[in-house]
Amino acid sequence: MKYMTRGMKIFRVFNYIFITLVSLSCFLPLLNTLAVSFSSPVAVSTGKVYFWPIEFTTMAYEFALKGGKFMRALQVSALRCLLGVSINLFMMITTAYPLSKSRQRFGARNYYMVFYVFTILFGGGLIPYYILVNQLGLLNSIWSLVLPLSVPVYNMIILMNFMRGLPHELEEAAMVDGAGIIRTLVNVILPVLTPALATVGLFSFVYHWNDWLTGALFMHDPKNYPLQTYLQTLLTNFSELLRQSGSDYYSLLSRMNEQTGRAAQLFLALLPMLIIYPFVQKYFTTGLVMGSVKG
Amino acid sequence: MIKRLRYEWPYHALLLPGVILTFIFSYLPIYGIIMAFQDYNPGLGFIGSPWVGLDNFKLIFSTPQFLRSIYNTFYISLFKIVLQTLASVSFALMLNEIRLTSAKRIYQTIVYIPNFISWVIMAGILLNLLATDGMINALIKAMGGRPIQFISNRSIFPWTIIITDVWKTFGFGTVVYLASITSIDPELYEAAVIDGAGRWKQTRYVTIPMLYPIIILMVVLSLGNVLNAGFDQVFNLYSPAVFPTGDIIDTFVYRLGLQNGKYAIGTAVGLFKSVISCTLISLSLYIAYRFANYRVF
Amino acid sequence: MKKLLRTLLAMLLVLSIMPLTAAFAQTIGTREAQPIPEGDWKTPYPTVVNITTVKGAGADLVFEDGDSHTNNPWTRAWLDQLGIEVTHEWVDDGNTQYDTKLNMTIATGNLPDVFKVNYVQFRQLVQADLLLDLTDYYNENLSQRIRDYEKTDPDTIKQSTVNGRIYGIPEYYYGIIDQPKDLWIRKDWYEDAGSPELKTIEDFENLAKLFMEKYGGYGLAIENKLENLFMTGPMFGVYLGNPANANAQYFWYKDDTGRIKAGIAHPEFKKALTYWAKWYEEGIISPDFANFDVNKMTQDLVNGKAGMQPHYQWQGWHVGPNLVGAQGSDNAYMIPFPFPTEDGSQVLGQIGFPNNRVIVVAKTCTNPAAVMKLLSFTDHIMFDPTTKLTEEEFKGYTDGQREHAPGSVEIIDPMADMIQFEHVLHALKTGETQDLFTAGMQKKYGDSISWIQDKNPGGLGAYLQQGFDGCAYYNSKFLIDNDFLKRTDVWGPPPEEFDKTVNTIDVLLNGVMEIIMGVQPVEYYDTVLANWYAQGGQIMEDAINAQYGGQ
Repeated sequence: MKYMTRGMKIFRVFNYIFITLVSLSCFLPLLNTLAVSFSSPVAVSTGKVYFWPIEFTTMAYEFALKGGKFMRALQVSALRCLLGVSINLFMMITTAYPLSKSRQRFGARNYYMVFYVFTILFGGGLIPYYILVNQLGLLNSIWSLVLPLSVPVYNMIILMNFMRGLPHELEEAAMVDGAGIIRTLVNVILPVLTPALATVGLFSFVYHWNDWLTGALFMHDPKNYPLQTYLQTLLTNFSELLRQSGSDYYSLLSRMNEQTGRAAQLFLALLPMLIIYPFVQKYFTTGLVMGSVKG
Repeated sequence: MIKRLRYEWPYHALLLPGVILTFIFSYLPIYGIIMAFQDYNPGLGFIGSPWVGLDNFKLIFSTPQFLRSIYNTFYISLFKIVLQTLASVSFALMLNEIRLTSAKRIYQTIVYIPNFISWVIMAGILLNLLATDGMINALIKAMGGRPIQFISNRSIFPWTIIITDVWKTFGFGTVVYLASITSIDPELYEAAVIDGAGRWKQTRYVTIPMLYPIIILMVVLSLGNVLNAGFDQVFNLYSPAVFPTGDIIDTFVYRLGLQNGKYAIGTAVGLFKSVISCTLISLSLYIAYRFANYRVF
Repeated sequence: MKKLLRTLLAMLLVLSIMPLTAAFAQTIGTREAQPIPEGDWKTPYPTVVNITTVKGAGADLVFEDGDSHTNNPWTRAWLDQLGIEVTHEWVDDGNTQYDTKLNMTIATGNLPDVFKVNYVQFRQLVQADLLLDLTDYYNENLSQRIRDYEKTDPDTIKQSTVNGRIYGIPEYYYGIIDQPKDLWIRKDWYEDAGSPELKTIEDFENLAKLFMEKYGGYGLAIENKLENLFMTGPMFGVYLGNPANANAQYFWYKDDTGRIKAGIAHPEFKKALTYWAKWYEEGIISPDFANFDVNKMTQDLVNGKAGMQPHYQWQGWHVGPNLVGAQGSDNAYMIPFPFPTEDGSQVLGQIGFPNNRVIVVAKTCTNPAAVMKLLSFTDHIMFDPTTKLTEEEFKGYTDGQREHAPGSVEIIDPMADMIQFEHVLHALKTGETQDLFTAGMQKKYGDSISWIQDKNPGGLGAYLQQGFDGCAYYNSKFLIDNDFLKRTDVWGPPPEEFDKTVNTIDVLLNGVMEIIMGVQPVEYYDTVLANWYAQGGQIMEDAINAQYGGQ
């Protein structure tokens, strides 16, 4: 900046203050939740906990982590994310690429598009879905969690828009060299797609990591519960658990309650995101956007 | 036709696996919709359950509270979409004025964080914050105002819902819009500077117009969701005192007690929502194409 | 004079309790030594029989290393002692999706042999003709103990009897002693106030105002879904449901004309509304109560912002430990009082239909008698005082909440909590612990002792429920023994016609809230009630009267 007018300086100062205030308001709930998860239930239920743990305890986490169930559920979740994200990425690429072509280039494009958009608007509900998964023999298997939503349509559209934004010259050059459609996709398009794939891949990951309901419905053996399903069962049972509690739970009672438990659950859910997010963020921003700029 | 296929077959081949899986898992179960026209009994199945015609629809549409919940849903949803877009775009523009890249990135990450926090937890925080003796009202009182009943006053409640939701989710839009701004061709700004445009005019005549396409995409996508006005949020904050203005379709359906196997009514409401969303999305696509010459899908 | 009267009354009470405490040996006596039915259920099968089932189990169930829901002391005992191998088609750990999973399983058409259903599912399965007629097996293969539960509760089994044939065996419940609610009051505040008499509503209001004066805040802690406030109905002679529970939103009983009506349609409800609106105006109910979810309500109690709360008998688990912790005083906890009434007369305990589930057997089951064996065995281990187990066996069956491991073949003794309470209180008073024959008794006793002796706040829940004269079950037992009860006239699930209404209670709750908060006068309730009738209340009331014999 060579020079600034007086008005601009004032604006800049105001701008910084405003942005900082807004950001602070967005950050504090997280801090509060973290503090709650590490505080004693007494401190929490007297409303003393703001942004720093009071009467520090890790009981809420110990409660979630105790026993072999947690590690097992973690493994199931990890496998589910690995399979789920890979399948989603493969399907999104193979679907978004043809759909990113104009109708002139790919005549049936619009039919396919309608085929997919229809699925985000209409569904048959839980029961026929369950009957189907049962008939396919997928119940109680990890495949029942990763196959059904193999083409996430929203994310596919974002990816498709990204591909539409790529310069045509890229492809044309490859075609002139005699590469077929699939060769072009693999050799030319995929390499420049990394940012977009990182973005939709993260969305996919978040979905598979956080979804607890399908785990509870399709897994017949609790050994196969993914992590969020397991944590959910612990917490929905918490008050029940206290009501019938025996002597084992004395230490628990004074060191955690449902609120601190929920806060801890949120953090366990967030943890992988917090680890992955910084790596993805630089792609995340560019990827998402390119997706929609060109019409 | 055949010629076309000769050239285009790889596209079809690429689409095939996705189409097969989507057909199996999204189209085969769609027959479940017929439940909306049945008195469904899982024991009798889809074939054996008695047909009741439009009875399920008649039942819900003859309930004044349901009609009211439709109105509330639209009211809350539409204002959420409008204000969210406004908030995200303006925050992105303000953030864009920050020169320091690392600061920009940190702010961007921070405003995204509330998206991760579930409404169960957020509601707990908000109920404390917005209570008559809570922090916000303490502030209002300190400035000489009268305490506001954010949660229990029925004319204020929908706005409490709208504003807290905008605050919680605007970070997502900001990330998207900011990234679009960054990718605007710098030559456009240079041209504007030559024409004598200051910062404000650059924003007004270059940045904002360049954002239109993505704004349209985001709005169209959210219109598909217009009948989901935020179940988790409303459910965790409302009370009978604000039913007339705060009850939305999803909370209404929840109170039906789906756990009691009232699948038929749930399906009827779901079908109704699907038809409305479908109409809205088609309409918005048409408008986007007709007036902005922009193809979303 | 008053004091003398109270002392006399207290003495009388103690005296009346003494024969009771002495009597439980006899009570138990009449419950043992039953003739074993033909085809003794204890005889094992010579060759192993397989039974399939599904179950929902609380997440608090803990198994020893290597054990699981499908292989544990129970399943091994069934196999070794009865010759029955039980296969679980699925287990819903945490019991969050049991009904949904079961509905879906029914939809697939592959029913397990034995499973638990709610009454809606029961009705649907009967309509679909998928259930086995259990009448003969019930009479010939089930233990006498279980069949005798009909002596405690003769009517519940009728709800799963169709045309005189039994298609489902009630799961039963821990007892109606669970049901009456109490007015919970901060003990230290109450004593500081000179332990005043709490007979009339005026007494209550004065005490609330005294608390407000001394400690600030407000009087009565309630939340915004009105569950707790509706518990105060008996104070005004009106009996209400739980608006937050879709299955029990109304409490139905006959009026003078013999017509069964929901509590909210009885004229006394307006009296309740008048008082509630007055309490709101006077600050006895917090001006902010519409903001309160359950957590916020508890938070205010723990913080000392309020010292009274209408609540269930398990309040001690809910508020107890935190309150003691936060106030840092062993005397800062809440104790249960019977609700006061307008004229100081005896309040009645409200008793609704307590059974939620029935155990059914699929028509495809090849060996229904084996199911009866399983049910009898589980009951024998859990509730039969004559059962002799080694300590190791007992621990195997019951440690880590494993008494609930049988899942779908678990029937509960409808006198369980009453018997448990008598034994626990007796053991606490005499120090004789040898008669604590169930896991529940041992736990509640251990918890109570840990509060009494070590002031361990974790023990407060059990102590306040069962641990002293004046505890929650003590109050309930008094109501039951003297028949100070208001039983519902609808001893069964809601009729099918209820499905022809949707969310009828909305109009009502909104109107009630507005009246309490002073937005509308009490007279407005006539309009609200008329709307309620117009929007489904009439359909419900007619159906109830048709099915349950009202006028």
